[in-house]
Amino acid sequence: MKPRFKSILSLTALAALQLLFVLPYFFSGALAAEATGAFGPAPVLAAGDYPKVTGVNPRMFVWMAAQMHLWFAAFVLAVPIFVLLLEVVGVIRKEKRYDKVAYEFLRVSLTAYSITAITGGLLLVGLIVFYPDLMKYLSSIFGSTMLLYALFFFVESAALYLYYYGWKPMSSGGLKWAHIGVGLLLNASGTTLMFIANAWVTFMMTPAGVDMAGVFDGNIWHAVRNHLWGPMNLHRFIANIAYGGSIVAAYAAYRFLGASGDKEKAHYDWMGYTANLVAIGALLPLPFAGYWLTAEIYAYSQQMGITLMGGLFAWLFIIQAVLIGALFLAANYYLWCGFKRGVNGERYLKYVRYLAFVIAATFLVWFTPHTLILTPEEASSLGGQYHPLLGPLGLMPAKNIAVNIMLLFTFLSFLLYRRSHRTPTVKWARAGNAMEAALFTAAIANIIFLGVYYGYFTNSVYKVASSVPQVATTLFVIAACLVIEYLMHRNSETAELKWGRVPDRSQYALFLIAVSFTWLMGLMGFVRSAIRQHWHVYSVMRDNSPDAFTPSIAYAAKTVSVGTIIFMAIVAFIFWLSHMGREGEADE
Amino acid sequence: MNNFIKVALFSLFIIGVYTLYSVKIIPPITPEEPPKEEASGQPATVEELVALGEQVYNGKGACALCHSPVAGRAPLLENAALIAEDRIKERGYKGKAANAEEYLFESLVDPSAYVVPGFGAAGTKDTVSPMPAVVESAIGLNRTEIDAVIAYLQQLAGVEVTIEVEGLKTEEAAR
Repeated sequence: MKPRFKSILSLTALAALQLLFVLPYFFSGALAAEATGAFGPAPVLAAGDYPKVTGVNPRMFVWMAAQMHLWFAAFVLAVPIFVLLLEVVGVIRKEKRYDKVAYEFLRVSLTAYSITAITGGLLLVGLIVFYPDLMKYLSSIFGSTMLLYALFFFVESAALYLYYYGWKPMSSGGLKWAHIGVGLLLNASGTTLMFIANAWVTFMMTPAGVDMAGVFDGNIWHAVRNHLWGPMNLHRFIANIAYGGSIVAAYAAYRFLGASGDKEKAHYDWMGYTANLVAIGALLPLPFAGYWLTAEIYAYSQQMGITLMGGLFAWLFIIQAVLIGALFLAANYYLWCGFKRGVNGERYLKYVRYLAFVIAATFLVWFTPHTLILTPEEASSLGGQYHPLLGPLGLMPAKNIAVNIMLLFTFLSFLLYRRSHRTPTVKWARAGNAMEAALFTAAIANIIFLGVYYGYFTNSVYKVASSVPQVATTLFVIAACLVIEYLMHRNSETAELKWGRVPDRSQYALFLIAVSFTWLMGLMGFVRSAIRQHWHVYSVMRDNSPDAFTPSIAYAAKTVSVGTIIFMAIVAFIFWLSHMGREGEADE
Repeated sequence: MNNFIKVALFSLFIIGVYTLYSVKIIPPITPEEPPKEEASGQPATVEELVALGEQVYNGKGACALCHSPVAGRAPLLENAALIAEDRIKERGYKGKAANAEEYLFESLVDPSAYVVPGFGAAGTKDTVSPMPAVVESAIGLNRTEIDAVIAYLQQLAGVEVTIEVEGLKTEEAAR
C-alpha cells in the first residue's frame, strides 16, 4: 500500500476511534434526556467520584494533552488559510514562486495534522478516564454538536488530502480554480470545527441555557451562544493565523541558515519574511480581540473579571506584557535587519535608534507593575505600596497609551522597510509624506490625551472605556497610511529586493517570535482555564477532585515550559520529516 | 556548531529566561484553597445568621471584591444599613422599598433601583449599576444567603438586625 493511503487510512481510523469514545456518552446523555424530555441538574461530585490511575496526575495529563492539541490545532488551522491566500495571489499575479512556497507550507502542516488528531484523541481519553461525570454532563447538552464535530473532522480530513495530493494534478486551467475551491472547503470545515469546540470550552466558563442547578433548557443554541463564544472565536481565529505564521517563519529561518547556495537562501529569506508578515499582521489586531474577550468576561461576572485582571492573576499580565514586548522588539529588529535588502535601505538605518528608543520606552511602561512588592521598611519610606512617579504608569490607561504607540511605531518600521526599495515619482510625494507625518503626530497626541484625561482626571469607570477611541485612532492611522502609500507608490521606481541579503542573526528573531508565541499561548491558555477556579462549569458544576486547587503562576510557568520544549521537539521532528519527503520527491 | 544545536540552545535559552522570570522575579502568590461548600442548613440564631452573612460577603457573594477601599469600584458598605432609609428619599431612587431592610434587599436583587452617584456603569449617567443581581447564576445567592448578608450589613452599621431567623420563629411559635 502506498504511504499516502496508509496515512489517510490511519487518520480515518483515529477519527472513528474518537467517535467510538464519544458515542456512548452521547447515547447515555443527550439521547436519554431527549427521550424523557427532561434534563437533569449538573451532578454534585465528591472526591471519590474521580477515577484514579496509579502514577498519573489526572489534571497534568489532561492539561498537557489539551495544550499540545491546541498548539498543533492552531498551526494546522492557520496554515491552510495563508496557503490558500498565497495560491490565489500566485494565480492572479501568474508567479510560480507563490505556488511553490504555498505547497511547501502545506507539506509542513500535513504531518502536524496527524499529530493534532493524535493529541485530540489523547485529550478525549484523558477526559473520559479521569472526568467521566463531567463528560457525561457536557455531552448531555452538547451531544448533537459532538456528532457534528466528528462529521466536520471527516470533511476536513478529506479536503486536506484532496488539497495536498491534488496540488500538482490540478495545477492548470479550470482545475486550478476547482483546487482553490477545495482549499476553501478545507478552511471552512477547519474553522467550523474550532467554533464547535469553542462552544464547549466557553460554556464551561460562562454557562448559558442552563439554570443555577445546571438544568439545560433544551435549546442547544442558547448553550452554544454563551457570553464568550463570539469573542473567543474571533480571538482564536486571529491568534491562530499569527501563530501559524510564526512557526512557518521559524521553519524558513532554519532552512535559511542551512541553505547551500544564494538561490536557496533567497527563497527561504522570502518565505520567512512572508510568513512573519502574516504573523505580525495578525498580531496587530489581537489586543483588540483580547479586549472584547475580557470585556465579555466582566459583563458575565465581575468576580471572574476581577480574579483575572485585578486579583490572583494580575501578575500574569505583567509576564504577558514582557512576552508581547519581546515579540514586538524581535519583529521590529527583523524588519530593521531587512532594510539592507533594498537599494534605499541605508538611508533609513539612521532612524532605527529612534524607533528602538520609543519601542523600548513603551515596553518599559507596559510592564511597570502598579503594586510593588516591598518590605515594610521599604513601604514606609516610600509612603505606601505605590511609587509616586512610577505608580501611575502601572495603571491600565498608561498601558493602553504604550501599546497603541508601540503598534504605531511597529507600523512605521514596516513603512520604512517598504520604502527601502521604492522611490515615489508622484508630484505630491512631499505632501504625502507630510500627510503621513501629520497623521502619526495627531494620532499620538490623541492617544496620549485620551489616556491621560480619561484615565486620570475623570471617573474611574471611564479608565478602560477610553481605550476604544484609542484603538480606533491607531487603526485609522494604519488604514489611512496604507491608502496614501498605495496611491503614492503606484508608479514608483521599484528596485528588486535582494532576498537573502540579511545577516544570519536576523533569523534568530524569527525563532524568538515562534518560541515566545508558543510559550505565551500556553500561559494565556492556563489563565483562561484557571479563572474558573474550583468549578468544572463556572457556578454550576463544582470541581471536587483533589486537583481542584488553582496552581500558582510559577507552577503554571514551569508546566508551560516543559510543554513548549516537548512541542518544539515534535515540531523539529515534523520539519525533519518534511525535509525527508522533499528529498524523496526530488529523487523521484 | 551545527545549526540545529545552535537553534535548540537558543530556544532553550529563551524558554529558560521566561521561566526564571516567572518563577524568581514575579512575586510568589499562593492561591487560596477552594472555599468549603456552604452548609445548606438554616441558621438557628441571629449570631449564626450574621456569621453566614459575613462568610457569603467575603466568599461566595464576592461583595468585598468591589466594595472595598482598595478596589474603589463600588461604595463602601460599613454604613449602608444606617443610611438606607435616606436613600429611599433620594431623587434618583426608582425602587419600591418602604424601609431600610427592603432597600438593602432591593439593592442586592435589583442594583439599578438606586445607583450611588459616581458608581454607575460607563455612559449611563449613574442610571445603571455595573453590579450584577446576586440571584443570577454567576453569583447565585439563595434567599437565606441574601437575608444573611442583610443581617451582616445591619450589624456592621450598628443598627438592629431586623431579619427574622426561621429557627427562632419556630421556637417562639411553639412557646
